[in-house]
Amino acid sequence: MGELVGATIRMTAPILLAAMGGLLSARAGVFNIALEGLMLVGAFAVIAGAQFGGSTAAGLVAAVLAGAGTALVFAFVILRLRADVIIAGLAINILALGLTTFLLKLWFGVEGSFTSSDISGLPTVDLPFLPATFFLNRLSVLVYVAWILVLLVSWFLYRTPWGLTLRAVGEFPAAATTAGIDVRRVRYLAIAASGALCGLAGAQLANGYLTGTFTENMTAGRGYLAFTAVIFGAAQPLLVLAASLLLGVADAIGVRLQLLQIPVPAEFVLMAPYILTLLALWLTSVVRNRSGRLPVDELALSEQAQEAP
Amino acid sequence: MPAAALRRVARQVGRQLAVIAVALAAGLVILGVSGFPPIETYRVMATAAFGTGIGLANTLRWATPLILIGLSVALSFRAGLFNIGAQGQFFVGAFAAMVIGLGLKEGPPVLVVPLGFAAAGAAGALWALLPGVLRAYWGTNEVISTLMMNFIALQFTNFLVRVPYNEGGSTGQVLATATLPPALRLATLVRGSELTLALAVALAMVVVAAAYTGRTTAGYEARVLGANAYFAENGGVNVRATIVTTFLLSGLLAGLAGAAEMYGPIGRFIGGLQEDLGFNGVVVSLMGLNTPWGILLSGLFFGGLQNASQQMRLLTDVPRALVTVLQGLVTIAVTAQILRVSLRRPRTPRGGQQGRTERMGEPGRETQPVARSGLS
Repeated sequence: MGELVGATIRMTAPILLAAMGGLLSARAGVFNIALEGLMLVGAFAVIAGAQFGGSTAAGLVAAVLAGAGTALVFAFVILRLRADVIIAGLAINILALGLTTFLLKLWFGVEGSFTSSDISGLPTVDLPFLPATFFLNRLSVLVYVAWILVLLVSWFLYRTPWGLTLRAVGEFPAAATTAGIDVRRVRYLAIAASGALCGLAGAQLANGYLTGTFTENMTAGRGYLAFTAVIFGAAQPLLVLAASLLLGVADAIGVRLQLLQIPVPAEFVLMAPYILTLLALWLTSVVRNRSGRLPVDELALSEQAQEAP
Repeated sequence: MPAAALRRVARQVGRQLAVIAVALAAGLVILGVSGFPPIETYRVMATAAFGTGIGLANTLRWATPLILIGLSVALSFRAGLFNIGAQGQFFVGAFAAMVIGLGLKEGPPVLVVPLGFAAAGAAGALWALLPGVLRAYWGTNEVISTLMMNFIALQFTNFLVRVPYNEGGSTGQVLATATLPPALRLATLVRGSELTLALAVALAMVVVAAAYTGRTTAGYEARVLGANAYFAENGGVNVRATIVTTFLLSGLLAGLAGAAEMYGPIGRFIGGLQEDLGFNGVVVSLMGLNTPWGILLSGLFFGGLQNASQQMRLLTDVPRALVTVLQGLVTIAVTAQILRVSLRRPRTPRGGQQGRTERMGEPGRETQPVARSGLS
């Protein structure tokens, strides 16, 4: 049981980090489906940075910068060149997959996977009051960052003037413009922050547990899981946390069904979060249609991004 | 064709070619910076894809599913619907084709193969039906619902391959069904290549799709819905029925692509096979200006890229991921370009008899022309 909780915590961390990034850009009115690609770039950069920069810290910096930099390209394409948000996001994912695989071969001379014993894992937090082998002890520092981030983002959104600005831009860009807010700049910043957090998510994935390894397409849909968590959690920090945990639990249980002797095929456990999201999505639209309240439809969000002044 | 229309087509085609040129130029830079001979690499790739008979045949082989998926995407795009669920519809379609093929192994091929295609089309349509109905009746965002359906289809078919259909085909990490008997496989058209008669299905569907969008009332109504949803509604188009029909047809085409792969070159269902097909279909559709004949051409181009990537390892030291990079670059170039010009994403009213603008009583926010002209 402890092992399962530990695995859940580990599997949730990268999803949660990326989901917080997705939340920020969703709140700015940009539907960021590029989380997958941004995370993959981060995973590659943390390994490349550590290898060439000579330290784990260099890897982390590289991951954050690469994530934010790629996100800025995405932002430029949708905000300046007015590309469609969804298509551009998918394109960034493909580009990230292509470039990381290309560079893996070019820089490390391998296909598939690169592991270096020179790269030490991310620093772990040693809690002295817990036994060393306890499942919640000695987790990567980014696991703690992910959880603290939920509180930080929540505080930022609802308790700071910048958070208010961000929400205004997402919910009613025209009014934000009238109030003197530079909508486009806020969106650039939100997307860049989103990329930086995805960089951390990728770093945790590649270098957060045991040895540092980058594998071709190693995110394997986790960015889409994070995206799902943002939608399922209606872009509310605590709900997104709950959704991320649900996804993490499904992930952790899915690979351990036989050990746990649960007579359900793993695929159905892995499928469950998507079905739940679909259900939540449908219920939301039913309620919205009935009450006629403000339709902060995700589709509208994505379209508004193009209408930035 | 009137001269003005001809000029418009020429201008659009020219623009798409310019888009490809920009993306390919970016690829040249990447190759150069990485220390590979850029022009030479492109020359080798082009020769591999289009320079020999076998090469060309294999390009057509890869173009086959891309054309079908491209058509599937285009039907929904033209109606202003963002069905990105072709991948999932392809999975279930391919699996349905295998169920028929493996279940009726001994049956007469003239009956079994068409039945397999029909089952694949039906399965794809069924998979698209749910997002379509949710969209038509409750305005549920189809981008997310079709994305979710993709993941569900992947897990569902993974389960089918691993448990009920796990007989003989799986080796090590790869889960696969048994292979179809040779009698049920479509004929190979060029010896030594993987090109099969499945190509004919894709070509036939290009013609059918062109007739549907250009010459039928339903196709016309779908186009009107995509061009101007409020006009469509006031002009008497049954919006709900059009949305559902469009999803069904879109899913049907993606399902057919599954059958084309199963009875054509592949012959067995491998868990998660060709998982970038759905996205590539989006690119093919956009590149082809969402028109059937355009998709035929762009399908050929991307089929050539795909074919070249299969051979890269033998031909050059350049990592084959270059092709993935190029696909990403072309997509960015095409979406950045196309939306400014012709594919401004149209909006559809969300189901009900009223558009949400009127219901909300705040026309300035949702009505596109006002927002656009006022701000840009």
